[in-house]
Amino acid sequence: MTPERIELGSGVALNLLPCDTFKTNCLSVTFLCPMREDSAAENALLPFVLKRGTERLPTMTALTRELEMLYGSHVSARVGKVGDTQFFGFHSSPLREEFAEGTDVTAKILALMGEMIYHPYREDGLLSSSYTEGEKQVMIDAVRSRINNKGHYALLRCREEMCRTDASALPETGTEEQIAAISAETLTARLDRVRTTYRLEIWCVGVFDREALTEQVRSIFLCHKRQPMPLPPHRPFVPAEPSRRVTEKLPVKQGKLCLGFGTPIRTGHPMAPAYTLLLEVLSGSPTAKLFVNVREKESLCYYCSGIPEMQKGILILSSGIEVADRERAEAAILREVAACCRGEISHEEMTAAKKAIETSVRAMYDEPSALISWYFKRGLIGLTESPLDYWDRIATVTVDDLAKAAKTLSLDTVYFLEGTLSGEEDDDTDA
Amino acid sequence: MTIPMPNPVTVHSPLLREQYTVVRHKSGLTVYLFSKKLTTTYALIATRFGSVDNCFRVGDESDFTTVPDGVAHFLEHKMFENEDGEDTFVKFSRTGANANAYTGFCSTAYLFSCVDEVYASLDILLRSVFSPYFTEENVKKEQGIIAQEIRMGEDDPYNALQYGMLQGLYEKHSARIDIAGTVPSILTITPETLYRCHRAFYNPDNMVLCVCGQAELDKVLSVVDGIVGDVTPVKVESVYHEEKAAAYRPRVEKRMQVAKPLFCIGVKDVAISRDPEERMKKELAMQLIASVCFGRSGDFYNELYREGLISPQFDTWTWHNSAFSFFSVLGDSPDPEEVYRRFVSYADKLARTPIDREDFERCRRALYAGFIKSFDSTEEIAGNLVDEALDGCDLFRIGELLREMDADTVSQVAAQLFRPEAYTLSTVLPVEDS
Repeated sequence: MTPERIELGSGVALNLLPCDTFKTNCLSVTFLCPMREDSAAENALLPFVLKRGTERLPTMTALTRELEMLYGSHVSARVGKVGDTQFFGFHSSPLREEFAEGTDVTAKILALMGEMIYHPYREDGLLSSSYTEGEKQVMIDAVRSRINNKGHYALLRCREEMCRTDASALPETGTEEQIAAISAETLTARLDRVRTTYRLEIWCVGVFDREALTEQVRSIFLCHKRQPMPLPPHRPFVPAEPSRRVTEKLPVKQGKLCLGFGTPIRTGHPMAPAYTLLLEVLSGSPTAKLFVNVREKESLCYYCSGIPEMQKGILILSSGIEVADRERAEAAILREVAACCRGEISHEEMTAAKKAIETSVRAMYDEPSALISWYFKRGLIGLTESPLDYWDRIATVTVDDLAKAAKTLSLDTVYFLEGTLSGEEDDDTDA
Repeated sequence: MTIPMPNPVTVHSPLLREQYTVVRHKSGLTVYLFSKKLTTTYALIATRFGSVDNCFRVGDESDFTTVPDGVAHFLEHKMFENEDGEDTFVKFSRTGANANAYTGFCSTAYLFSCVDEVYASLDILLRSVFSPYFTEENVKKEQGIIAQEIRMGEDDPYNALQYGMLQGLYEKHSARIDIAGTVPSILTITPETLYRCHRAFYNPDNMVLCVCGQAELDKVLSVVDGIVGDVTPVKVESVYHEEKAAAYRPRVEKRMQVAKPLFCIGVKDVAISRDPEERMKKELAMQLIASVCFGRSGDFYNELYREGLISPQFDTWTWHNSAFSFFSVLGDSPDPEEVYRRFVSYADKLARTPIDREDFERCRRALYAGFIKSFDSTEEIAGNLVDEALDGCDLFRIGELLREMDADTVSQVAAQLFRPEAYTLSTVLPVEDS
């Protein structure tokens, strides 16, 4: 299963992956642009405002009702960043025609996405100011609510500290201030620029009529003049010497420790397969070094996971611990990294890690959205390698290769979220 | 549970173009094989032993045993440790299977997914689940790990919110207890407690196995035979506290590090049928109430959203099985009390007015489509099939019941469900500025 890429010109590409395994198709329309302070928040807000209503279906109620009639389809707004690129748009998993009593739900959903982008609900020529204000508040609340999930918050804070001089440190939604500064006027102007200058990637996985779909995409997205702007290459992360320590206090019970590393190995780097295997050996599964030693042998934590960002060359090792165990946990985690650098990896660990990767790579073919994400991220830097081809390269990695990859890791930031509530106290007001 | 004769039985769903075979093994284990041509094969074995089962008796014992809170979850953590000193995860790493386990209110499940070596992996899974090995030392070690898991949960505001709601609804029913227990409760767990629970609940008669993907029934049964071939079925009985129809407390409030107040409005329901099919029907009706009346296309959501009283975080959470039942809505809001007032008056209207037929039909169609979509993943199929089987139900019946369902049934359930004395409001408010 390899996707077909059809360049339709003017920065619009249609990616098709035919397969009849699933009862649903997978459809996405995604705009791409460089992550920039002056546009990140507007780009992020746009799909949410567009999803509030169109000329034909002006309210959220009308839109949702239409979707429910289209066999319970959902159109979700998506915003994210990959390295220095921001992406946003719409995603849906429409039921296949044969399970929807002969209705071509996929074509109808694509048309609806087109309506949202080219015929949004307007008031006096502008995007609705009440929709804009409503969605701004929701997004500001979401930015503020990052603190609700302490593990995720600690990760984001560690990442921000590491890349603090870089636009990629911005939250994918922009900051609270940047969101607050948006108006219906600026958002309408942004929409015009998005339609004419942002690169556009459309994906469809499943059962469809290739010619009809291509024609529909052309008629929706290429009827306006487009002059796409190029995407700059991802800037690699450069770790600081010596490493920095950042501690923040919050009234919570558990401490969160994040060790942020930099590495020159990024997507497309010749050592990337060795690096992927390293991550598996270190933190990928319950037989990984961090799980076996830091959790099982030392009982220091419930989780200790590695979160890599392959486009930037960043790895964060994160765990939740007793505040008093901070030094012990840090030393225990670094000990496992050092063991990898020395090549202290058993034959069994290597085999297990390779088997685990093979399983997850092959399992990707059961999940269309995982395949789209794989090709999408690699496509940004011109790579077309399939997951199975990448796996073939991992299969030949040796312990030496893995140790070499480990030695490229350089500790940049140690971030600690220090819980100030004593572990034993019970603060439930249950009475 | 009742399995249709003869044994095995193959059940087709022309609607879904899917089929499964179910076998009642002589040990009492119910075995499902769901054929599916995907890359990943998924196997899951579950026992009817969850956090609510803290008081039980086995066979013809006269007395009930009470065990510490969080014991089902603790046991789950310990099942992958073996007498030969080799962790089950290590064994799975040789077949390349991706294994996991989880504990819920009413069940504990052990599972793996794999792309080859299905039977070797199944052997590892079943051997682990049926061979307990607990020592003072390995229990003590786990107390440290689980304590950190509990701390993590205690810092999670949505966790606090949802348990707050359950503690508002129930006075004594064990649904009000955190699945993981508390740090003090798990410290009282000993190897003996674990062995006692294992003997009671991990007997095959109390368990269901499902293999979904590319596998053959004979080979699955031969693995089962090799491990529980000689086991004789044992009956186990849990007892749950009988609750009043009214909520225990109208308000439960906590203060935590959150950006905005969180609310969860719970509706207690004690009308639970003994007939599995009736339960399934009511559960679907409750889900339809959730989407027709509190979904994204409904007036409640849209009015409150427009007024800024709720956000897209707004959601519904319904639960209905033989152990307990509730309906709830939750989300964040600048004014939880106002959301509660609006809920009470809206629910009062729902209890008195029939549900709009057009709204019902739209939501029924959406729920039905969601059901069909769930058959795209071996993981979802196995999980759903086993969940239904544990409560005595058949997964395919959901599709049929959804086609048969009418607006009147849903209106009747709404009329029975929404009574102000059954409501509780749980909130998590931001810590006050010091």
